[in-house]
Amino acid sequence: MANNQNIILSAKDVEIEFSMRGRKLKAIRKCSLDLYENETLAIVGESGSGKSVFTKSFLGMLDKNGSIVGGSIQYRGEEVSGYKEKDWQKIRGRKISMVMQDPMTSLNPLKTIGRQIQEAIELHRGLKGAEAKAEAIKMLEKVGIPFPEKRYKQYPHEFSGGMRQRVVIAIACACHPDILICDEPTTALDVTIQAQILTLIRELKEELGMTVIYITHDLGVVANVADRIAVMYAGQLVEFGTAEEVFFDAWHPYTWALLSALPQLGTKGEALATIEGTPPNLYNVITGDAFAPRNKRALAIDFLEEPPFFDVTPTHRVKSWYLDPRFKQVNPDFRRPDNIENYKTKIRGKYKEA
Amino acid sequence: MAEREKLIEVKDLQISFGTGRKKFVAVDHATFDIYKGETFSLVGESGSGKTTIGRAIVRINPTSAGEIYFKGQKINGKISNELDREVVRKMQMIFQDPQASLNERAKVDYIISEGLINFHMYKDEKDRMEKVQAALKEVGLLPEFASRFPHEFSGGQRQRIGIARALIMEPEFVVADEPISALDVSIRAQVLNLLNNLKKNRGLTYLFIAHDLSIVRFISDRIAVIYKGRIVELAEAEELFLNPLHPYTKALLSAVPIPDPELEKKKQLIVYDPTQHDYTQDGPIWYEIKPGHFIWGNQKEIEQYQKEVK
Repeated sequence: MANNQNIILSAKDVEIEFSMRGRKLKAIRKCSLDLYENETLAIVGESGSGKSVFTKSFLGMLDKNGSIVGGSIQYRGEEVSGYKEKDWQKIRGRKISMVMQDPMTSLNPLKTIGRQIQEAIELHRGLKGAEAKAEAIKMLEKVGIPFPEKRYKQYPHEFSGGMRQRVVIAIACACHPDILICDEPTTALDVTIQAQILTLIRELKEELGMTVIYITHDLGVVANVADRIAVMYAGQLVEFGTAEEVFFDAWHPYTWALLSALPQLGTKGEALATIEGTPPNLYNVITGDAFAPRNKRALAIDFLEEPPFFDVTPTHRVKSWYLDPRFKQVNPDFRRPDNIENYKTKIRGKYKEA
Repeated sequence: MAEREKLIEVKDLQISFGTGRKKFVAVDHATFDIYKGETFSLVGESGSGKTTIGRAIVRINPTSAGEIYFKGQKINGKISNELDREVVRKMQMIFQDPQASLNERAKVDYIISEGLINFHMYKDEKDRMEKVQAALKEVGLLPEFASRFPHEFSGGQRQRIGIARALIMEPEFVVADEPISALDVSIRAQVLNLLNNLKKNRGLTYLFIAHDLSIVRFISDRIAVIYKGRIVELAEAEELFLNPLHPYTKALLSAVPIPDPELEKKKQLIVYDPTQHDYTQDGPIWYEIKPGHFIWGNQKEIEQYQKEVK
């Protein structure tokens, strides 16, 4: 947990809509999130849950047919949700920067990687020519690319996947941003390379004093990087907490489902727990808890009324009726699924003392 | 253990691409058996040759040395047409990317029955349709999906179509090449369960190719670790995870993130240094260090590993 409680970015009741052939798709339904300076926050959820859309709205990178229709986003106290493209250019890349999933597609194959890093430096930091070049080479060195002077002149195809992702990180960090958003930065990479990239991002975060948001569905990666975790489902954040709180004491049924489906919790020869059904159609109006139709233990009220957030601890907040004091009164013996109640023991049974 | 029937035997296999100065040896000295009814996994980084081995077994890639046996018959290199047809039918493959491996312009009906048509494995049109619908049902899809096109399906459903296409040939052996890496987390568990159920119900044998070790541990009976075209260690799944010997296996296992923030943040990452092996004087061999646990190393290293073995 970051000791520094300075809120650097604050989203309140954000709503984002996309118009698709005349129909309105509500991708984000009233999401609130406070990001603390120097922390690493991981947003988890399955594809289509809106985790990328939500964070893209922090840099004004929504697709043309999408817009923020409600709520506010404040970056260091300044309202940015109404920004025009010209205003965004002062923030995007300079203050808030993004690393995308696939290093194959986020680099321009026709330009040398040196040029691509230098571009960001010239645009945002006002350096020119030799000065900018020196800075670009320094950046390459910083992200752990050997022979940076030689590599500066090479094209993306001359790099391996892991090295390419390092280049993308160098571009994103070239202007020493305040916030670095990493959207599935290692899904396309091998595990050994993944470990290196995660370490690199951690080192850069310390060195440049950045705040990092990870978007990922890999709970192993989350455990590695996150101070805090936010779980997202069907356009809403449903559970917040420190990494330990979410892994060891989860309270939202969707978080239970995500954790239970981990192969590490499976017993050989038996079926793995699965999440039945599909996420709700976001064209429709959703009543109650969006996850209720897929939750085998849903309560009657889950289908009628959307649950509010309940506090488990000051840092751990969950949007679920299970935490309503009235529910506890009626069901004093309520126990979460076995895999969740005994999560720690079950996982540790699989690993020797690490 | 020794009495188990070997479905696939791979002996000192070498696979190379190109000739002369451009020759590149992708896989060398690969030796392993796959028993009937087991799930055998090959794990390694991209470019390590794991897919190449899988493709060589199903006769997509030619081999340059060594032998592959299927039920005691040699199936690599030049073989008779009849054997080729038999092998092609009995060994099926499930591919990694369900977006790329289905013909976008064909209906599901054709995609699934293409093999049947090639091998004339149906009596009449009605029989063919029944077979397609049975295959769809078996993988958890609706029979009416047969008249649709691949783009109408989600990633998980497309992967199921790919599995149905393999199953309809009634294979004995299935090579599953990273069948779930391209799928979303919530879908992965479903497809893994499907593969496991099919194995039980049909008595299938799998060669599972993957880089995600947490899934491999759950699904496999035995695992071979491959590094730069060399199998460096082979053991039963739990044995390999609890008692890894080769430094590369240790490094690979240490890199897999543990979904436990306390363990994961304390974890020591092991980095593999391939130059640590000195094979100039004392050449490496493929050695069974304890029953069922094989390792690639030279005399000196094996002595060292022997001390570590528990």
